[in-house]
Amino acid sequence: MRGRLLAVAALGAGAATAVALRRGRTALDAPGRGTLAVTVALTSDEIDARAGGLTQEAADVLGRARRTAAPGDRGTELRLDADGGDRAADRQAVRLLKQELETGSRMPPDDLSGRPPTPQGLVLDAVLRAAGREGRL
Amino acid sequence: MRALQWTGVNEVSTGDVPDPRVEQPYDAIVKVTATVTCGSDLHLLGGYIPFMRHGDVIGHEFLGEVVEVGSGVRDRRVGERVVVSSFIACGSCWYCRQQLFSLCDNGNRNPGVTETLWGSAPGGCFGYSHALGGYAGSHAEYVRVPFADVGAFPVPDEVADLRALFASDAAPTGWMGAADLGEVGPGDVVAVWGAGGVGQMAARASQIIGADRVVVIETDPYRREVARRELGCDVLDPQDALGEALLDLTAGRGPDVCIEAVGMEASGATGPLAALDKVTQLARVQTERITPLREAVYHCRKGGRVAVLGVFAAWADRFPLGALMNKGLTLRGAQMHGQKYIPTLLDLMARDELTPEYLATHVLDLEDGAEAYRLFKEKDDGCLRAVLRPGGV
Repeated sequence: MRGRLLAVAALGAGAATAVALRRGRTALDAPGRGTLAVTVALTSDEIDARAGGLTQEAADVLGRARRTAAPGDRGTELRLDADGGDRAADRQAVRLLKQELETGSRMPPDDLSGRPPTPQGLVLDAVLRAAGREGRL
Repeated sequence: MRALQWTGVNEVSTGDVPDPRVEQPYDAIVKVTATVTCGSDLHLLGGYIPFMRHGDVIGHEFLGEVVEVGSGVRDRRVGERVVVSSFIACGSCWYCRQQLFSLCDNGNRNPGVTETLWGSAPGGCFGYSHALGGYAGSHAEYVRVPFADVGAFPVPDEVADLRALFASDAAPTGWMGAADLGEVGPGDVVAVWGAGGVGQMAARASQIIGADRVVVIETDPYRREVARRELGCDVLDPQDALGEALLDLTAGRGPDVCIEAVGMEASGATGPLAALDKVTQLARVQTERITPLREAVYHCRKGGRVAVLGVFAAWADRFPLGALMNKGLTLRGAQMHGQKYIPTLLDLMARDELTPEYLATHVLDLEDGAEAYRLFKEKDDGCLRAVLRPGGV
């Protein structure tokens, strides 16, 4: 029982921390709230060359993205206006676009279905369901 | 198939789980022939990294045989004996191109957790919680290996399983700490905190690279003896006038490179700071117990280098920032970039220069996974590392 209480306490602390950090960074993020951005380790020409192999969803996102050359040898910055839509869905779409362009495959969030329900798991499941879609991107 | 699952805080058991399958074109399925406990697993077991789900398969350091490959796999072949890097990396993103594989942009499927906690997400890791991707671990009969061409390496015939096994994580972590983070060079005196698998590999790497002298600092007398016997290095008990001993060893300078290989659950430390750490960690006010790291920073020579290899989760109190700044130290840490180091390590193993099989003090069947972790956690029967053999011992 002591172990379970510790686990709950740890989970609570983790979740609270995540919430606090997210709240804390809102002001920092404010100037860019309407934009989601990723850097892809490819030149703009290389992106064009790979565009034909993208899924339709990724190709649509690429079509909406603004491109600028990243500094140094870092590739290309892609920026997507995300005002008014489902920001979490857009965030995930941008991540998947980057994955498809760089690796040729997609790494969607892991699937928690089929796991036995547990009291602690309810909280963790909620955190993890968001983890693939949330974040600082 | 059978697999060792996390079922609650300090509870694991072997049970039935679905067989893995090729999900992406660059996947391979590996039949696990040897997989080993790691000190970082204990943080998961103890609930200190609270992103484990009931039923998760643990284990990240392993060796096996390729039994299936996806359509995009070019270099790996069915039937190859391979050792697999514990961290999952795509090989294509900017970080992978810099050979910083554990920082891969695309390896972690659940980046929201670590982006929020740490500012950005490292790559994914087998069997190391949903915060690092939620990948099934290696304490199983089979494991899915994403980006197999990048992370799975054929093992030379002359390298036996229990030697090659440690090229998956412990040896590359130690090598990284000495070669890259610590920048160990000829003439250096290197102090390594912790004589577990990673600490001993860091000490051995320092010797191979050319350190003048290596000293291992460890609270457990048996582990000190193993380090002395197997590596021929100096050993010290941190509770026995450590500062004086290190100053004596270096004629008043302090070690040039200090490598921390203990992590967030440092045990055996005494004194008010250690007691306060224990209480505040238990209450989850802080997440780490960092006595060895404090000692490393304090005792390192002016202008020296401190490498952090032990796993930490979030926040530590009473970190000696004043010593770090005023002594002009360089502090670096990382999860290991195995894909960078494994070929070199397998070559050293083939030449008998790196022989970590002595770490495998216990070899058990996968069905005895719970007993393996008990032996390992309690350091019972001189357990340094417990190896699981899913195909039977």
